[in-house]
Amino acid sequence: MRDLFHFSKENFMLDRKKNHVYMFILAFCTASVLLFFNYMNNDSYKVVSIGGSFFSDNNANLFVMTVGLIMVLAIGGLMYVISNTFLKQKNKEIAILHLSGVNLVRISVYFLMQIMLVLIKAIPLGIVLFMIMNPLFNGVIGLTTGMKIPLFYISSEAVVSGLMVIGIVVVTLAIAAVGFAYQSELIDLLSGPSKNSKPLPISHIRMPKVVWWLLYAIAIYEITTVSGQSRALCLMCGMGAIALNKIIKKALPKVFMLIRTKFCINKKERLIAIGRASDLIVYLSGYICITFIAITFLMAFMIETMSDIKIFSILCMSYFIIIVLMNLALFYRNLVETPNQLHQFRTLYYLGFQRKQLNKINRLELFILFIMMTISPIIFGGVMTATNLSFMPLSMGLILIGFSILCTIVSLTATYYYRKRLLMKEGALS
Amino acid sequence: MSSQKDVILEARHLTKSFGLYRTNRHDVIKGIDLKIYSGEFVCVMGPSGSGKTTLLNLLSTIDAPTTGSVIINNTSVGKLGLIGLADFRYEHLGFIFQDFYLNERLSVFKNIATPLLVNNVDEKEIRHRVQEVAYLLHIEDQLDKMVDQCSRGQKQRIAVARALVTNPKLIVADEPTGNLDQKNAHELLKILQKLNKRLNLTILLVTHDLLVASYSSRFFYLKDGQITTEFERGELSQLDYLHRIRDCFEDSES
Repeated sequence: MRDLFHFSKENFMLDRKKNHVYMFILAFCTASVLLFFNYMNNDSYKVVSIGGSFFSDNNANLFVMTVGLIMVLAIGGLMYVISNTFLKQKNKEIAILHLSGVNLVRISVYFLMQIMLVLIKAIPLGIVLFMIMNPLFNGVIGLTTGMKIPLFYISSEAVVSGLMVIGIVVVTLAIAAVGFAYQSELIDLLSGPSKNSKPLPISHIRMPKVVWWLLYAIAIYEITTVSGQSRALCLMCGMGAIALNKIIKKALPKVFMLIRTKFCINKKERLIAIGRASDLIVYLSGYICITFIAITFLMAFMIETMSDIKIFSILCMSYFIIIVLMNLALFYRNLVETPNQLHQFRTLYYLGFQRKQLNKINRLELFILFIMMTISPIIFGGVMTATNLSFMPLSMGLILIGFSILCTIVSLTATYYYRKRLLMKEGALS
Repeated sequence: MSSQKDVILEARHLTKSFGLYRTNRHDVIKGIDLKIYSGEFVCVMGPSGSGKTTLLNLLSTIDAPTTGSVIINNTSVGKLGLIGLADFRYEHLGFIFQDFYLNERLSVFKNIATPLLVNNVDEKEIRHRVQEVAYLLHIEDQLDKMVDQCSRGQKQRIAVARALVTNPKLIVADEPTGNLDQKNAHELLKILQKLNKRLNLTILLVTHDLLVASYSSRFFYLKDGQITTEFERGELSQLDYLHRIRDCFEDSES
């Protein structure tokens, strides 16, 4: 196995930058899991309740536990998704190994080693990050609420629970790596999965597109009629998310097509950028909707629980962590997939486009994606804040929405510069 | 031909269908029987959609047939398990594809040596075998270069060298010249011809290009999933052989 280990390590080191991002995300996930468990086990928070709390003490603790566990599960899920992205970029590597006569057991070991190479650094780094984040978090909560919270409090139970969860995630990732190697058929790797061999999709009733726009508008309107009720707000936001998903998949491509044919026919950069953005938005529809749900649901709960410091602070922490993680995941996904998209830019380059024009397409495409990613959370979050000013101050709403916009800007700007560097790199397009 | 020679590959009543239901069922290969003998340079040609690549995938263990069997070196490949199949590929088959399938950021040496590096071969043996095949393909002075610095012609030679490094009995090539210009394509085919003659290597090549087909020693014409014509080059010059292939192509199209 030593030869396999060396070869695996050597191939792994070729993607150092991408692997560092992957490692950092896993480290951040590890730190977040530990932070949540530590928070739930911190007795200093348990007795605090300012003003008329919505929950009774027992219900409040149950709520905190539920939110904490949902967050831990969400972070675990995100780790799994990110790892799948990490493995999916290895298709060519698997094809080469298959063609070289390497059997599936060795291919599984090969990927397992690569995953372990990341985890071996990510978990200690995550623990270090947790040690840094924990006093910071305790300090911020202590300062804003006036509570006396020991800055460096670390619950041994939390560490054990956290490490157990991380252990489960590590095993899950290992199984994912092995499963990935086993399910990758050489025929699919060489030619893409055979569409003919798959059963035809079951036909479903097709709704007119206007229904989804209406549903979206109704969800916004209904939010204005509900005040301070998190469950009702969540219901409306859920409705909005379903409508948004359908709009992105069914209606927006038509809208983009209309814009292209009506306004951009003589502006080739815009024409291409909008087309590319349209495809990218459909491709990222799941991601956009999940981000939308995370932002709006957490905001809805925050509106109702603002008076309860413990619940409010865990919701705030969940909000900030989930936003950072989602944007890191978006950046990593773009990082992994950009080299695969390079051939499209190469084709444009062969057709006579200059590098500057390609960069303009890149910029415009990412700008449209940015608009699409932020517009729905801004609308829903804005309406929720505006109609619930008696529950949550405007400044808080602005901070929450602003933070999500800022993270999206950072993530997409990083993507932009990464793509730009690739496009401008000498020889990359020839 | 070659009845005294060993049969290296045999296909018996091979069929391949896609689609699970009767309504979307599509028969791509419709009962093919063929034998390829040791040391032959066989070309399968046909128009787009005739099932060339599907047939090659079936014959080279990449895909499994719907019915029928493939026997390579007296082994029925359908009976091999997943691990057995990988070992079988390592020992008997070498693959060349239009898209090279190289790791662009590894050196030429590492790319050629990949099958050996991951299969417990001694370091000295690896160096010896890589240098040997690199010499055969005239890339011995490129071994330390990174693959992304190589031209397309060189990349395909590297892919050929990687296919040869395990000393396979059969080389399977799917449109190997598809990504090459005329000069590089000619050079590559000359190399394959030389390897076929010098090492008695059996080559199975799939193409839609008449000129590429004219480098082979035996020709199969595939149309609608069936072999409609089959002949050998024999004593014909390459030009006459090309004309015969062209005639066959035109007859089939008309």
